Amino acid sequence: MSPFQIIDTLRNELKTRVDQTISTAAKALPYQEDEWDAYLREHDITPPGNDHRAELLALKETSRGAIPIEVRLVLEKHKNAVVEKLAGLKKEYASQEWWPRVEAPADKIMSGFVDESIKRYIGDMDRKPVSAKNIFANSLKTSPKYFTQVDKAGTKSEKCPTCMAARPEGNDLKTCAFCGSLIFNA
Amino acid sequence: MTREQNIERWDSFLLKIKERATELFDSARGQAFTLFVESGNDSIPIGNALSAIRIQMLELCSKADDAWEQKVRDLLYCSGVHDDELDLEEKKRDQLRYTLESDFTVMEMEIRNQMALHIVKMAQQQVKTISCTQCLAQLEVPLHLYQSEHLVCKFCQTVNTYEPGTYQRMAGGFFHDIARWKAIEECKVEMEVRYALQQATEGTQQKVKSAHRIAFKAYCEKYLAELKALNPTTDTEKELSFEMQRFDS
Repeated sequence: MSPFQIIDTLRNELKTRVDQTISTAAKALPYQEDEWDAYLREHDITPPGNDHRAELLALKETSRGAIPIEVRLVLEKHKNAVVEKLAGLKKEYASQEWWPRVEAPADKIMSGFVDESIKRYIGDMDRKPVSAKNIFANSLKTSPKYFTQVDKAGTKSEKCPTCMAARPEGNDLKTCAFCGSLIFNA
Repeated sequence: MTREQNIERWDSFLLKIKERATELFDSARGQAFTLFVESGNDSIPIGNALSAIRIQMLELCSKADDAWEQKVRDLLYCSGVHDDELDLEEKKRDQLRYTLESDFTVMEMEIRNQMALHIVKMAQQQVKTISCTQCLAQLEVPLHLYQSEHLVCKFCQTVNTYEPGTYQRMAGGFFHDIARWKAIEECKVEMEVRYALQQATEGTQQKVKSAHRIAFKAYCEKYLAELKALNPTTDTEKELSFEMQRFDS
């Protein structure tokens, strides 16, 4: 295995686990809290009691998703699992000259991922549903403009080119009733 | 959790979805006309926004579908809700979809009616100032005239060519929205019967089908009568027979 393959495998493994955790946590309410509890147990975490959850929910109003501290506990578990895996790899490959090139980026990935993932999760949960105001503003901004000028209604009339007399109704409209000149040649 | 508790949770979940949709529709009602005026009386941004709101509404409906398919059905079944009772709970989801779709239709009709009234008012204001090119007397321009026409001045008999402006041409298309809104009660009845037809069993289907035809015809008649009042050139009989042929096919 090359050092790059090791880094890629670790990164992908972590990403898959984090995505799964976040999507499960996001669906926790209103129908999935049982599923979330089961998910916590799968990761050897005892789900907090309802009273404890109520206390936490009193700190910040949350209408959906699992409580972030519970998500953090699962993410810490993921981190520990990857750290253990890294320690195993270190035992095997520490003597290789390329090992520092694996260890340094792996440490970098591990150092901030829990906080970053929690931030991403809270951002997703706090995102407000699309409002009519946003929809209208977006529509106004992006719709193509097909008409830019408003024409006014009006009237016009054909007049005799010789004497400028109007064409009264019922007359031969090709010839001027006043001077007899041709109005239209056709 | 008991079956009553599960049913209660399902009801409150559906109610939340309905409340969210109602909030969206009410907000759209309040802002659509402002957007129309802000866009220089252009109906395209409103049309696009209404499509986006419809997508939001359909997404809310699919939330109910997903919850039912993925969780609620099993939960209810495991807590002792079986057969007809389970069908009844599923129908609550269908009822929600119908309610949201009909509420959206009513909201759209209301918004388009507001826009139409505004355009017709603008068109009427301009038409009042149309005068004869020869003697400057005011010409009587029928409101429904949204194409070029020869108008004779009743004072000097000059033949004037009337050229409708943007709003007069637009008004011709907007009469449809005003007439549709005036037939809103008939439209609601038609939507209700159409939903009943979807829900009908084999035994009642024929009866509901004929009731739907009657409701559709009543709506068309009312709509066309209102359209004729706005545009006397409307051939109501021809339009009605065309609509009914379309319905029957």
